[in-house]
Amino acid sequence: MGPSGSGKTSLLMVMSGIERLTSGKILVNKQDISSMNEDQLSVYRRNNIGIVFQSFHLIPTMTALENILIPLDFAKVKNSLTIANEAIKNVGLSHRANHYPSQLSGGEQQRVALARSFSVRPKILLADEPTGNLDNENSKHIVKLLFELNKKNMSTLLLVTHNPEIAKNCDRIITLEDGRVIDDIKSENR
Amino acid sequence: MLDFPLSLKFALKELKSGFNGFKIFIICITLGVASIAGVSSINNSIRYAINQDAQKLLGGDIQGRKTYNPITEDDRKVFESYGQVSNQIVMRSMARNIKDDNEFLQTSLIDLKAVDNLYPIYGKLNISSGTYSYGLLGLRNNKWGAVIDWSLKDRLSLSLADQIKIGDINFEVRGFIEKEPDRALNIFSASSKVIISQEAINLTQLIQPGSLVTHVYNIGLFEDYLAQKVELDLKEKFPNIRFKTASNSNNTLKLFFDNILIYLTLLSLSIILISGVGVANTSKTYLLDRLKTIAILKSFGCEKNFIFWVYFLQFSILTILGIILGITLGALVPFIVEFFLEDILPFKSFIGLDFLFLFKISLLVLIISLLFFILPLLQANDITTAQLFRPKANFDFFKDIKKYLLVFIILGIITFLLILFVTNKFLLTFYFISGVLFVFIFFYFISKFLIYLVKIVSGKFDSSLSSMPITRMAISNLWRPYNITTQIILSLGIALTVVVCILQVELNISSQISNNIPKRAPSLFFIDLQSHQREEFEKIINDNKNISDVRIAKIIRGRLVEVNGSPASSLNPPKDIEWIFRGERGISQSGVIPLGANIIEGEWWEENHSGKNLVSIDQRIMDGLDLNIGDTIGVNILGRKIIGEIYNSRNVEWQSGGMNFSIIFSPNSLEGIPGSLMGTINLTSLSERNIEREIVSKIPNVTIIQVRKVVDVIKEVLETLLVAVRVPLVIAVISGILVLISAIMAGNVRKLYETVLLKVLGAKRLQILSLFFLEYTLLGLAVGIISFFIGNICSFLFLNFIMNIEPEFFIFQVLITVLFTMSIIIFIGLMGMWNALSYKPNIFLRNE
Repeated sequence: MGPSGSGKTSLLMVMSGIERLTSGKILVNKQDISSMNEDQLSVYRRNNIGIVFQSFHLIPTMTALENILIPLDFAKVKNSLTIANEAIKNVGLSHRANHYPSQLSGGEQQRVALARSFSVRPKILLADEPTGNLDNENSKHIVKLLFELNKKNMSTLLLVTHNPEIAKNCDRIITLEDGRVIDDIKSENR
Repeated sequence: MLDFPLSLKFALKELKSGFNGFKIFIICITLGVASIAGVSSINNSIRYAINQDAQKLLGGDIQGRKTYNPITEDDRKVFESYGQVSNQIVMRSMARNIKDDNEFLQTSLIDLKAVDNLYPIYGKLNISSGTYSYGLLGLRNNKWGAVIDWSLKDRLSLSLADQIKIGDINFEVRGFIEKEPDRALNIFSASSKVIISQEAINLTQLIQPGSLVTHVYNIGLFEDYLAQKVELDLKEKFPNIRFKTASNSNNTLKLFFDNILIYLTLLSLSIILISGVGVANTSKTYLLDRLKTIAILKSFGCEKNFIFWVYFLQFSILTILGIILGITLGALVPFIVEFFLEDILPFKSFIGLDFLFLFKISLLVLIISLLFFILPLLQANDITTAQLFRPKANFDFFKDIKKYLLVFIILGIITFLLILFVTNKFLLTFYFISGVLFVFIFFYFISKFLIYLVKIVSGKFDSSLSSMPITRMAISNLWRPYNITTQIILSLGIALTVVVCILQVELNISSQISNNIPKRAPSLFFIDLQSHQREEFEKIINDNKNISDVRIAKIIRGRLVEVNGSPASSLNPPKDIEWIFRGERGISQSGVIPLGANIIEGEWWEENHSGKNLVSIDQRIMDGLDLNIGDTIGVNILGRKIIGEIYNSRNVEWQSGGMNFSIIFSPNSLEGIPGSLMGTINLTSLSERNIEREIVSKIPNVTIIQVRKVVDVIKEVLETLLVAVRVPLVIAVISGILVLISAIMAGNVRKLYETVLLKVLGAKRLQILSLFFLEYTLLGLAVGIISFFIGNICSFLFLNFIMNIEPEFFIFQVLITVLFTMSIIIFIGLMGMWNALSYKPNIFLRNE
């Protein structure tokens, strides 16, 4: 948690290898990702990381199912279609599988994004304000789904949020300000 | 109400921030304008030069020409009543350089011109050794004088005061011609000019009965006489003499350049068309990129038309900038042309700017540019504010199709009128616009059909493709929403079709020239053999083992004056065969069918036919005049009318280079009429020089033309011209590539985002590149194949119906070009993607 500009998104970006560090290094599973090249970072993401964005970032020219298939295809996962179908079923959107992002509501788009992220069973899931673009109702639904899938998948979830209610669902709440950790507490609700 | 100053202010602001995106827009306009301005300024230069020099080129205000015999003294008096008359005798002959012991060294074909003391009436004859005067050609130390071309000096290794033999007379070389005022364009001539006096020509014994001699009378009119009026008077008084005036003298020259210019104009219009596609793509990319700005402006209350005018002004300013650059480049073209074609052009080309013409071009290009950028502009303008704030707004062509079509029709009509205004050729403009419309509509629908086809096929094979995810994605990219398939097929298809068509036309022209003639033409042509010399000539031939085939025919100059009893003047022949009635033509008689000719209608007569006069004529004349076997034609030869009955028709292959007359009479029809013999000789080995020397030493009045030499000259000249013609082809290819870049850039805006997401989702760079490689290869293949066929069909129509050439198809060369272009598509596409791969993903992922 933390105010705008405190470095929450930057933290997620460097952890996923999308952004480069200016100094220091990042170790993930004892692996130094800061020295990896572009392709190594792609493989690292493919094998370890799932990302959920505030703006969903689905490819607009692909259907919901095709969007879920992307990481599976690049990872050359066998039975990718079966897994993708299973993933979309898990988020309750089987009936919308062949719809394009523009034909889906915001909540539905985020559910597809969740299905896409969990389809490759990532070790770490990075979620950058996943409910930031959604109304209350949809937010609740997405948060519920996110934690359920995370539990089922046994991933480590790193969630950025402004909402203390959502944060309460987490094991640990770290607060940032101006790029520094100012608070690190274990959640009472868990 | 439009707030013009505010629109302009915004337009300039927008331009300042996004100028980089318009490089292709400006280059496209510049190339298009430069090519048409270049072609037009060459056109103007040549026309100006021809008109300026017409009097000098003709040699007088009016020129009369008569074959075989000179005019009578009485006729000359009539000529002299109009002005000063200068007479020339012109013919083809042979010159030999000789040593003092009269031993022949070398021979060369010459254009012999015997002048009188009034030559030249207009202009000056410049020679290397100082000022020309008639005295220079006179008898000095028992030798007549001659001034000759530099080319003859080189061919016969001559110096001043050396001797050459023409006919029976030795001439002393007294000067080399620097500039001959009345030298017309004869760029295909393999012979050199020799000027001698009229007294001397009479001594050469070259003028025999039936020799192909032309008597030329140049009249410098007295004041108060109008050339056109005098020409009419003279034509009426002397129907057997051909007259022309300075204003209509260079029609052949004009026609020659007209044909090249039509081709170049079509090419440059095509370049403008290709460039237009580039303009459309660039403006679409730009406007898609500006949708956010438009959304913000609209949400802050600006009127709908304000947006239209801001971008309309911006694109217009850019077009005008491109036009200025293009005109500057185009104005330089005549300098470049003159540099390369200096030796071929018979005059210095006038270099200057025709401001009215440049204005016309500017207007045309402005409208064409508008035609291409108006659609994305209207679409951007019509998009609603709500749509604009959606993450991936796009233009919808069919939303307001009636309005768009109406705008297109209006602009299309204005474009048609402006092209007509520029070219002054209705049919050319009509064909061009129709062709363009056809190609556009065709490629639009073919792309839609392909998208549909790929969608169906990929759906059917979806399960088989699941093991090849990259192939599946690449194929799907072709039909997915917001695909760039139509844009690429339309842009590249048009550009590639034009390139294939131009290439095929050019290869056909080159092939006609460089392949057909040398393969089929005889080794030597000879003319002016007298009937009584035939025996001696045949003896030389029979004694020579290198000669494989000889054809000899009687040639008489005559005029077609009557068809089925009706005078030629009452007939209205179609344009393509008008030439048959124009002046005198070579007419022959023969017992056997000419080599290489095929009978189309009727049959050939017996070899020793006697009885009524029968005629064999060119099938084109038969068709053009709607004649049948049994009809009659009448020819006037030396004032005598000879009627013949059409017995058969032949196809006459002029390209064969052999002897093949349009009109051939049966044996004995032309007996008693003085004429000379001409013919062809085929050699088994390359010994043209020897046989030529042998014949000319024994029969000096015979003129021999080495066909290979003539063909080489023609090839050399045409190759130079082809280089000039190839420049626009290169510009067309460059424009095509630019258009391609613009089309790919237009698609890349979306692809960039897609690439970043693919990377975030774990795709390696090589995987992404393979994906786009496959996509562009499939697209390139589709466009290549379609353009290959359409380009070939267009070239077939152009060659067959406009240039009257039987088309050959150069599959290999064209395929190589298509493959090359496809490689460029893939390369440029991947280059674009490579850039996308190096984009920092956070640019896209953070801001939204």
